[in-house]
Amino acid sequence: MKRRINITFCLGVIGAMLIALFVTAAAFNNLFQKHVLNDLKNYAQKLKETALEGNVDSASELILFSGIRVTLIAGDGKVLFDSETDYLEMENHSDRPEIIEAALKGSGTDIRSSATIGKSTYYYALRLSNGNILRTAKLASNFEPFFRQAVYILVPVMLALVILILILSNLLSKKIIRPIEVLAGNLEDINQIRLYDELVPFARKIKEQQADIQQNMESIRRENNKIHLITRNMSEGIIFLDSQSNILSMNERAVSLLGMDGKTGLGENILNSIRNNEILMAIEKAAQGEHNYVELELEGRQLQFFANPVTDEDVNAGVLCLVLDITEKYNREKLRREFTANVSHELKTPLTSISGYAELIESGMARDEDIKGFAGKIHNESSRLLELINDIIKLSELDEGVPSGEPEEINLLELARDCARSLEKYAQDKRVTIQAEGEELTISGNRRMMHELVYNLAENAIRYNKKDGTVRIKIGRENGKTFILVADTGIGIPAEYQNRIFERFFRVDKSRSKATGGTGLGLSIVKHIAGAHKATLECKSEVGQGTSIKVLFP
Amino acid sequence: MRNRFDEQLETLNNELIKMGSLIEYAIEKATDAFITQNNDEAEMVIRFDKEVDDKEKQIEGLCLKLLLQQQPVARDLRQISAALKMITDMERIGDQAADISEIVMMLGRYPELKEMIHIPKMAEATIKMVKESIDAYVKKDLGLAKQVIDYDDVVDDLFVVVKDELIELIRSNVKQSEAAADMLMVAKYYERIGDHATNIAEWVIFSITGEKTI
Repeated sequence: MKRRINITFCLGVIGAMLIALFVTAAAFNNLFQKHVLNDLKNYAQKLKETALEGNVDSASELILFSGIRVTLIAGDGKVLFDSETDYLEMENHSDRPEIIEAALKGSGTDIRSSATIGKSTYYYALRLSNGNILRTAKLASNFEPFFRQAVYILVPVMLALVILILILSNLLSKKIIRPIEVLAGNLEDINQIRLYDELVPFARKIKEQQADIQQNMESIRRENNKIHLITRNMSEGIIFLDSQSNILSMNERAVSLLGMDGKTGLGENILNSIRNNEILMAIEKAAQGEHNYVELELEGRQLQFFANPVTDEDVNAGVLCLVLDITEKYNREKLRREFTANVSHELKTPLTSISGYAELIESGMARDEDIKGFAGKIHNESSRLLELINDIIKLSELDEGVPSGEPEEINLLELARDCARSLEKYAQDKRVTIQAEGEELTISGNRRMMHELVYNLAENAIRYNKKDGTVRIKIGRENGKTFILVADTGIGIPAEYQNRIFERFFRVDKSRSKATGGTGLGLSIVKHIAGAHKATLECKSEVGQGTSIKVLFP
Repeated sequence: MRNRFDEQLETLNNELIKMGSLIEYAIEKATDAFITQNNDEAEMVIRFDKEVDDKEKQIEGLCLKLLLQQQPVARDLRQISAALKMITDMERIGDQAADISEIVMMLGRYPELKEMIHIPKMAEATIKMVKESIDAYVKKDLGLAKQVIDYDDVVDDLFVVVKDELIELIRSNVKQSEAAADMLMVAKYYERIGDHATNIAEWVIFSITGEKTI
């Protein structure tokens, strides 16, 4: 800008000076010509008057000293006299413009310049009363030399002017541009800059827009933060890919779920971090515009991987992937399936024998004396079935998680003795002694459920005992916690099964389940009741030595 | 500025990784089919081999096109020639995964055999080798590539163990000798896969440093 201002100024000055020069030159030239012609005219008049007065001497004096050439031409163009040249040798002058003009109008002028000598000859012709024509002529320098001389003076002046103008225009442009430069450099504190009036609205506009931009940026940042916060705290993994499968963005959860290398980051191809073929296939399909998902196992986790195409005006712009961890759901589902299979099996076994015996009786194949035995067996099996169904009902109640009834104070020793009493007969049948002992301690809870817990533990202790073994129910305190301990001298549980005994329908020795009785749900019920009372279970067991299970209340 | 050549090299790199993921998948599924005696899965692996073959042809075409059209030199040339060699090894691994699956479908009668011998362990070791050799390629990790080459000894030793076990088995129970022979084949295939993984690792080293380690 500064350069343009300088150039414009200089050109302007040079142009103005040149125009002025030419205009004045033209004017001077004009004036000069007029002046010379006027001189010639005056001279001719004077000569004519002098000649008319008959004063030949003074006329020839005039001719001699004036330095002006005088020619007398006859009306037909023949030269009668010339003051400088031999008039006899001169050609006919009738075709000269000034002569023609004078013959017509009484007087005529002409200027003829000669380029070779650089001078012009000025002519003035005057028609005399006798028809002759008096012509005066003067050789005068052309105007160009004067002009050239003027230029010699003018060029330095012009140069000086240009320099002056340059300095001035520099100062001016600096004055114009400087505030703009300062403004551009310090857009933040616009108020501190001194501006000239014309710039103020401009600055105001900038300030307004700046405020707008800042506001927009702030809201974008907030929006971004919000999205970042949401994706970061999601339990699902999210990955955005562009159409070349380069990662545009992903959250931490995706990194941890897919076991990606934390080092490979944004902008890199997903292939550098994930090489699971199923996932890559899903992404490829999505890149071709097909929604799809895969379920897969990755590092012990069950994952659901959704890949969705992202289209922008019908062009595939990328892929949006969602990763869900469904391990828990999958495990629950598996447990449920197993449970259903187990329940059906356990229900079917007694029913098969019941139906078999009943069929024998129905068809009359059973002899009269056997019927009683069969009926006994049917009774046994149906009570087993009933027991099983009762247990399942209890379990599903406990699954609901709400122990029915208000919590009450329970005297544990009393409860233990109660259980021992009701199991006395069963213990005698198995040749096992059962005893309850310990301190008088109370806890708050559901009496029916607590009874169920102790009863189940004691029953198991008797069931898996040896002949002449003992079962001991002990109530006590340990580290400020109340506990119920049920210890037996039975067959014990092998170490590898100890953490599985609380599973539904789990039995250490599957082949003996029928002989020992029980539903396989007892300990599972115990676990649920303990859980409902926020109690923890500890199991210590040694094969052949016995098992002790401790319920610790908080 | 990225020119077309760089883009093509990038595509080659990505396709090679994709092929790596294909063979990883094939060998994992073949091993899974072997251990769980899943004939459907075994059949799937045999069919899957076609995809590996297709991928090999595709990458081969890409490599030749690059060589002809771009006339690469130095590092680029190394990368392309290493890729050409690597896909051959990868394709062989795919074939052997299919071969294992074929044996799985015949072996069904003797499921208890598998638990007795060290083949699952061998399979685990080879899968690790294949995975790490491709990891080494992806990350251009020289250390990891050397690790893979060293690890081949573990697989070789396991092969000897398996062979001894199978000889013992034939000696004690002649009826199972046919199955034992099949098992030996499976073990050999795993041993070969280990060798191919070693080759891949060597080509990775070549493409990075330009040195052949053999």
